[in-house]
Amino acid sequence: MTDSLAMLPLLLEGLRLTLQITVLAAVLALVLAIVAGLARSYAPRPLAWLAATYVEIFRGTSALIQLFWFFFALPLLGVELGAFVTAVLVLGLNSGAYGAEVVRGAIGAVPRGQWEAATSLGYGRLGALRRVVFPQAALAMVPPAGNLAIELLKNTALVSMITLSDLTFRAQILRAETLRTVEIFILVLVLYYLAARFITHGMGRLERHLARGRDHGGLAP
Amino acid sequence: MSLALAFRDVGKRFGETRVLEAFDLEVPSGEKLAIIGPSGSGKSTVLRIAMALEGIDTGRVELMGETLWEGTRRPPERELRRLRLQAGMVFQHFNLFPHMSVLENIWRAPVDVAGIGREEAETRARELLSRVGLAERAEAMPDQLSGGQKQRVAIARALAMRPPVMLFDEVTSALDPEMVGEVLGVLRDLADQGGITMLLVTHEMQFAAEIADRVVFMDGGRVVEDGPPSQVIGAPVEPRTRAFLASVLRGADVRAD
Repeated sequence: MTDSLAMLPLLLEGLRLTLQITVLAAVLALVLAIVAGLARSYAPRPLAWLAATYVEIFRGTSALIQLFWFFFALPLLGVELGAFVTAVLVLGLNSGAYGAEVVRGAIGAVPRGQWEAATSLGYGRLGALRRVVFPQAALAMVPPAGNLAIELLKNTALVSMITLSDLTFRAQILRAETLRTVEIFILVLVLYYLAARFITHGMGRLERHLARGRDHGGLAP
Repeated sequence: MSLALAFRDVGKRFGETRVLEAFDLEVPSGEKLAIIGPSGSGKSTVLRIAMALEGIDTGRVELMGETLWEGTRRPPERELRRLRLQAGMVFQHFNLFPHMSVLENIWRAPVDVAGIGREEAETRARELLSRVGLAERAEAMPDQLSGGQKQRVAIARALAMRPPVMLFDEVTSALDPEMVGEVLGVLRDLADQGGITMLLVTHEMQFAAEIADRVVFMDGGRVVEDGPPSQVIGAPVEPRTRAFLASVLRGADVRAD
């Protein structure tokens, strides 16, 4: 048992990279999700179409192949991003595509009466969206966004396939050196699980913060 | 006397359904007009067109002396926003902003839309809350209020923009019976105070008879009968008005049992 704990520092080094990629990709995904989600519903035709194309491409293809394409194929076209940037970019784009649908769905689910009340008070479309509709939709977005963040965390295991020493990669190395497969992967599972719990906890706090004073879920009755 | 609102030969359809047909209505400034009629008669649509939430297909609508709608032409968004400041609306289902406190529901639009300072807007919001009898609920969230209280806040919210024309769309229809009185009380105060043009779509015949200067009975997208409450509600001439009032009063009797 002491021996297996001796492996922990190495795995924690890997976890640090895993978390770095998760956080940076999540920030990128959040921005992309909001921009693409709003563009699909409210932007002029060409922009809406561009957003829809982005969402369909990144939802419709495998994240692993997307990583491979950006890491192995793009350099052949003269664009070299490096493994870390590729990981953040691809996972952010992938997660953002799912997130865009969450944003679009949540905004579409805000009752029409909220738009009408804001409009009748003199707000334009943008003002009504910013002040009235989006804050309500944001609350409805939190639970599915939490799911996506956990998906993203687990998807980071794929970056071990493009030379990055994340948690999964380090587990493979340790396994090859020590052959203590059972213990190593139990440790790895626990570490991923704890990281996911942390996300769930954070999302729960965010939801309670956004829902203060409200006696039911995300949307107006 | 100048007109607050004028509908001239207005036609409006939703798909195949004709909602308004050759609809004419003039509302002088300061008048309290009640619009009654069976559901589907187009009365809510009249308010929604006046609030510029819906356009029209034919005819012309003027709000405070300016053309709001003319045929299918849609004014640019900026123009619509300017014209919408001439009217305020209270909805059947309140539509309070659930993520804002009661007070913020009232001061937010004056600050964002009318550019009034936050402090002044809050002071005015508190005054309005007192007027609707809810001064002590300023910090509450809408979900903590009863239906009647919500509707009183919604009235204060619309008044905060100081529109010359106020539109009330069946504002007591979604309320439990015991809460109807408190909302009608606020409307009565508003009517007594004068100065504001009020259009009320309502099923409360007795209330309409009491506070309205004039009552319009609508059916099938047209004005069928138009006159003082003593005539339209008290002694209707048109058979359709009589039939409608008879059915409404029967309902009231049943409720009284």
